[in-house]
Amino acid sequence: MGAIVAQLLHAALSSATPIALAAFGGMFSYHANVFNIAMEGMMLMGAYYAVYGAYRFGHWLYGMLFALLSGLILAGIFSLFAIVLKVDEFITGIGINMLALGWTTYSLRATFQVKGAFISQSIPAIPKIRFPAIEKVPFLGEVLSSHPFLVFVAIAFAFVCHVVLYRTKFGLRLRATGEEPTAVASVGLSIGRLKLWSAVLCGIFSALAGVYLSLGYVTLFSENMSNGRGWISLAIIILVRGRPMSIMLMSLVFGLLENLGMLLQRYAVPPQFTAMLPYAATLFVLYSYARRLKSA
Amino acid sequence: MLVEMIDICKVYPPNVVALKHVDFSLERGEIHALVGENGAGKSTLMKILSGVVKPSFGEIRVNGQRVQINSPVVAARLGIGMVHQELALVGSLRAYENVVLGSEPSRFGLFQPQKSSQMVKELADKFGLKIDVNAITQELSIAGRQKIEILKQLYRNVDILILDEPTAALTPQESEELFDEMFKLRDRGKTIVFVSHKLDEVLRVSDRITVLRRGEKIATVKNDGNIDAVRLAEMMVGKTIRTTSVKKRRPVGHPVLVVKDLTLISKTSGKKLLDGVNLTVHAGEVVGIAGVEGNGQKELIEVLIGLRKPTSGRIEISGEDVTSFGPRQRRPLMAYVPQDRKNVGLALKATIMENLIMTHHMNPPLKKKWLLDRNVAKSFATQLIRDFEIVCRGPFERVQNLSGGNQQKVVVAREVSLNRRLIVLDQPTRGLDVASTQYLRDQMIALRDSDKAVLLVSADLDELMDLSDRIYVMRSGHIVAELDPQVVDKTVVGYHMLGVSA
Repeated sequence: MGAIVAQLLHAALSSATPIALAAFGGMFSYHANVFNIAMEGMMLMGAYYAVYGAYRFGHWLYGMLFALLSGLILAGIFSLFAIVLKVDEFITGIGINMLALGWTTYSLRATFQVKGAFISQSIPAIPKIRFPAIEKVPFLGEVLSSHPFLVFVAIAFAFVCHVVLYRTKFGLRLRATGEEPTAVASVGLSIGRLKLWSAVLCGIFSALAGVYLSLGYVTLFSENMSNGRGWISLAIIILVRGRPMSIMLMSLVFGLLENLGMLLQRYAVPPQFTAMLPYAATLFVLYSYARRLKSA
Repeated sequence: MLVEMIDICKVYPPNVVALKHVDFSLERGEIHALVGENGAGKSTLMKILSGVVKPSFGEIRVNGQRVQINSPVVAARLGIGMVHQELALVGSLRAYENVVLGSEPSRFGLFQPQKSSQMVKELADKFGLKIDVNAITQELSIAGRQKIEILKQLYRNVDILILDEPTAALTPQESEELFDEMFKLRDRGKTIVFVSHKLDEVLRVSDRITVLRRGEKIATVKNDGNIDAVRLAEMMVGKTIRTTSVKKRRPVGHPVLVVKDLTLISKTSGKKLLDGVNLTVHAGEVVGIAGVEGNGQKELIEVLIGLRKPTSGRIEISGEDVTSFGPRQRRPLMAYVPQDRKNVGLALKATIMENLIMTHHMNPPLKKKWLLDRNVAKSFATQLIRDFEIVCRGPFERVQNLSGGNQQKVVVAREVSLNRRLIVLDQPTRGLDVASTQYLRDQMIALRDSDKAVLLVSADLDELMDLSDRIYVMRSGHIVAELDPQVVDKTVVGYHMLGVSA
C-alpha cells in the first residue's frame, strides 16, 4: 500500500509541474489585469521547439534555448495585438493557441517527416536529479528522487514568484496596474510596458512548461501534447486569485487527481470515467468555492 | 508671483466654451479659494494647471518662467499636484504603498516596506496629517484616502496643492480636520488651491478668493473681512434681468404627484440622502428643483422613477400609491427624461425608430400578438420625427450619428408622446446648443399648457427661473425652501442653495 501511495505522489509531482509552471506565467498577466489564455499555445510551442533544439544540436540546453525563444516570440505576438493594438485579449489568445497547434503539427510533418508523434533515441532528455541522502529514506525517497530538475525549479518558483509579486517594485506596480491603472498612470508609469513584461514572463514560463513536457515528463513530441494543461493552469490562477503558493498547491492537487484516475484503472474502473476525475473535481472545487464566496 | 495663468481660454469642439480669457495667480504660502457654480470652469482651469487638460489659448508662468504643462508628470516636476474628486488609489495596497508607488525606495530591485512606511510616516507627521500609514487603503474612510492622495503629492515635493472640492464627500468633523491640516501645510510654505462652492468654508479658510461664472473670471478678492457670503453668492450667481417670459400664469389643477415624508438612508454609509422630503406637483404647472449638485436631487429622481426604494415615506401619482412599484409598473403613470441620455435615455447603436417605439411597443397598434408591426412603427416614428423637428436622414438612422440636441429630441419625443399626466425631466438641456435648448423649453411650456404636471430638475438657475411656476430648493437631502420665481430674485434662490441667509 505504502509503495502505491509513494508512486502516486511521485507521479502527482511530475504531472503538477507543467501546470504549475504555466500558471506562474499566467499569474503575472492575471495581476496586470490582462486576460491571457495563451498558456496552452505557448506551452505546446515550447514543447515542440524543445524537441527540435535538443534533437538538432544534441543537447537539452539547446532545446531549452529554442523553447524560450518560441515563448518570447509568441509573447511578442500577443503583446502586439492585445496590448499595443488593443485587440480583444481573448480573441488574441485563441488565435495564438490555434496558431501553435497548427504550426507545430505542420512543422512535425515538414521537419521530421512523421505524423502524430516524433520519438527518437537521439532526443536528449533533461537530466534527472537524484538525492543519494534521501533516496535511502523509505517513502520520501521514492516520492522525491529521480525527477527531472525542472520539478524542483517549479517548486522554487513558487517562492520566487511570491517574492517578486509581493516584495519587489515590479510586483507592486504590476498589482497596482491590474487593480487601478489610473493610479499607476498618474505617477508617470507606463501601463503598457508593465503589461508587456507580464506577457513576456508568461511566454517564458509557459515555454518552460513545454520543455518539461517534451524533454522531462516524456522524451518525445506528439501533436497537441499540451492537451489542455494550459487551460487547467488558467482555471487554477483564477481559482486562487493569482497567489503563487496556492497555485503550487492546487497544481499538486490536480496532479494527484490525474494519477489517482490512472490508478483506478487498475481496479477495472472504465478509463473514460477515471479520465474525468480531475475535471469533475475542478468543477466541484469551483462550485464549493463559489458557494463559500456567496455566503461570505 | 509663484504661478501666473494669463488669458486662458478653453474651447471644447465644436463650440462649447469652458473658459473665456481667465487670469489667475498664486502667491507662495497662500490658501486660494476658487469658487463658482457647477460648470463655471473651476475644474477645467485647475486641470489645465495640473497638466490634465491642454488650454486652447493662453500662457502659464511658474516662478516667472513660461512653461508648457503637457502632463501631470510635468506638473509634478514644476511642483504642482492636484487631488481630484475621484481618488485614484489601489484599494488592496497599504496606505504607504500607494504614496510611494512609482518612486519606491528599493535596494537591488527589492521594495523596502519598512523604509517606505517610515518615510511616509515622517512625512505625515511633518505636515500634521493624522493617518495610519500601514492601513489597507480600501478600509480607510474617504477622508483617509484623501490624505493618502495629499501625501502622494507631498512625497513628490509638490509646492502647489490643488484640492478639487475636497469637502464634498466629508462629514463636518472630517472637513474641520482637513482645514486644520491645510493651515499646517500653508504654515510650512505650501500653496493650496481650494476649489469649492461651499461659501462658509471658503470664507473660513482662504486668504484670497477667485470667483468664476460661466467660464469668466468675475473677480479675485482678498478675504480680509470686507467680503461676506452674500456678496460672494451674488458674484457667483450673477444678477440678471429676466429674459424670456414665455409663460402665462394659469390656474393650477389638482395634484398629480404627491410626495410625503420621503426619506432615503444609504445602506453603505448610513447617511441620510433624502430627509423628509415633501412636495406636490399639480396638473398644469412646472415645478423646478434647484440645488447645488449632490444634494439629493439624483436620489430624489431615482426614488421617483422606482429605481431605489425609499427607506420611508410615500409617493402618489394620480391618486395611486406607487411607493412599492418598480419602474415598469410606474411607466403607465409617468414619463421620464433622464439626465444621462447617452447611457440611460437611448440605445445609441439602435435606430431612431427603435428608440422612439420603446415603451410604446408594449401596446397595440405597435404590438401585434408577439410581433411588432413594422409598418405602424415606421409611420409612428416618421410622424414623431416631423412633429419634434428631429434633424436626421430618416427613421432607420442610428441614434449615435445625431447631434446631442437631436438625440435629446428623440428622448423627449418618445416620452411626450406617451401622453402621461406626469413628466419628470432631469437636466434636459444640459450640454445642448442654444437652439435645441430653446426648443426643449418651449416643449416644457407646451406640456404645462396641455395640463400635464411637469417636474424639472436643473442646475441652470436661469432655466428654472424662466420655466417654473414654483421652485423647491434642495440642500443636504432636505427641501429647504419653496419659492415663487415671480416674486423672488435669482440671488435669493442662490442663497438658499448655498445655505447663506440674506
